[in-house]
Amino acid sequence: MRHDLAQWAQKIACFLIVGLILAASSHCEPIEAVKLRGGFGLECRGVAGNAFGAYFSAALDTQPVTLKLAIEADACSSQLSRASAFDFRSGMAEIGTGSFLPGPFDARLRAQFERYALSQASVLSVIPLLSFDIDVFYISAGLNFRTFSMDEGTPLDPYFSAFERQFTFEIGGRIRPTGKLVLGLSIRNFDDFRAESYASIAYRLDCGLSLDPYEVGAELGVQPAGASSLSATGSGFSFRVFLGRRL
Amino acid sequence: MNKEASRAIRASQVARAGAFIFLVCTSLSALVSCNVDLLGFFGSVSEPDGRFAESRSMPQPADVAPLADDFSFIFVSDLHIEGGTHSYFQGLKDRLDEASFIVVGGDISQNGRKVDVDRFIAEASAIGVPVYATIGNHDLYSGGWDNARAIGPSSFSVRVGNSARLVCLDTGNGTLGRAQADWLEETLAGSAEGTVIVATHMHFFINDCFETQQLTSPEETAALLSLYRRFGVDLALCGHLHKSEGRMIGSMRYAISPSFLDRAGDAGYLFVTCAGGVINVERRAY
Repeated sequence: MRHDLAQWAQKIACFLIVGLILAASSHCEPIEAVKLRGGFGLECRGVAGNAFGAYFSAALDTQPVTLKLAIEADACSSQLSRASAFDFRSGMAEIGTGSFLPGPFDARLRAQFERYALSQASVLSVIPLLSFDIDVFYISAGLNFRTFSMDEGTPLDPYFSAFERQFTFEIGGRIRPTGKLVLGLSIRNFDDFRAESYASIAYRLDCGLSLDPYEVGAELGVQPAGASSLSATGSGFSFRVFLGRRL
Repeated sequence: MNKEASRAIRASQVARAGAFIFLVCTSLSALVSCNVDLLGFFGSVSEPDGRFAESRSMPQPADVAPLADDFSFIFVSDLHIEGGTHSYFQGLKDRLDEASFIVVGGDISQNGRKVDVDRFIAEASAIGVPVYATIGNHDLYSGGWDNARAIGPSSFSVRVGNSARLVCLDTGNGTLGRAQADWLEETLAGSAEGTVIVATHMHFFINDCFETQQLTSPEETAALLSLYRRFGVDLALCGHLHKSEGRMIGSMRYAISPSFLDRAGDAGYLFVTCAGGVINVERRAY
């Protein structure tokens, strides 16, 4: 029963993601405020700190919606997968409603798919988030609905599926020393480290420089690896750079 | 820009900087007040590769004496001994019900303290059947491995009678580590026994929004389950969750033991019977 439920959840989630991407695309009209950003980065993920990855992303930010897509490739020198070649790992889509909601509130839907080729398992996460953002302080919380399935090469007919829910949050603040520079610090228990531990909190430093019409941004993240902060084995870190311009 | 506007902008910047500093200080003090070891974020004194190497050099637990093909054992987890006593664990001696041995799935002590570990060792030696124990995350707290190593290797494999193998893994940090993962693969590949049982402290999947932790990475969970399937593991036993759960993963039975807190009303354990090639897992309340 649970297995069937997870399969159905995965199919519905796929449908929702495609639908939302199409819906967002239809809103992406070339209005004045539209921004196009591209990014890349490197990361050493939290699990025993030995999986290195490259990250590419693109974001289209209009007034009503933000559409963000990312593709990630990891060098599978990980102790877990123990392969020696590059391998496609994940695609991530994020849609924000922007000005649909009043005042400082924002609703976002984030979806992420991962495929672990060697163990023939798939993980699909859909995360609806509600944010409160007053620039100097922001908080974002939601639930991560995740299906985990193992299929031996037959993704539509997995021999095992599990459906999981996990509370996720992010709290952060920003300062603007000058009109062009923004610095931020945040703590979160969900990000691209993909740690499953609710208690495994990541720290992130952000830096953004606006050189109209261009934008340059950088992120530095640190996260403990291990069961909890009390029994961490080490740290993973990420570093990302974003380049963008207002269209 | 007039002076007033300039002053207002400066006041706004100072207010924002103040709020930012307040946020950082509040976050840090919240972490400290929650008894979070900030240094733990950057590396604990004990990590799985080091414990694995140490465990390999320790005397290994003896195999379970030859048994009939049918046998039973008790799996108990999450004792959280605190204050140097655990009357329920002592009481298992009277509840063996012909179990040939006991497997303890970690979180033996609450804070890794020596007095609690010593108490466990004393009680285990008086129970009358072999006790095989691995560690959990609580056993590593406060430099707990320095004390927990007295229990024995944190990961090991023993032969159970003529037809089964028991493998206990160290998942105290929420990850196996490469050395232990390689060893597990070799051990499973070399196992000629018909029944293979693997015990870990950490369980594999989140069941509730606010569950704090399990195996840290979904990728590692997938890799481990894939290994189990490839080498025909029959039973995966876990703890950590503090409530009982059971299901099938392919053809493998997956069972989580309830907690075994001393004098707790819901304390329980799993009674496992292997008979005629069929494994039965029964949850028993204390």
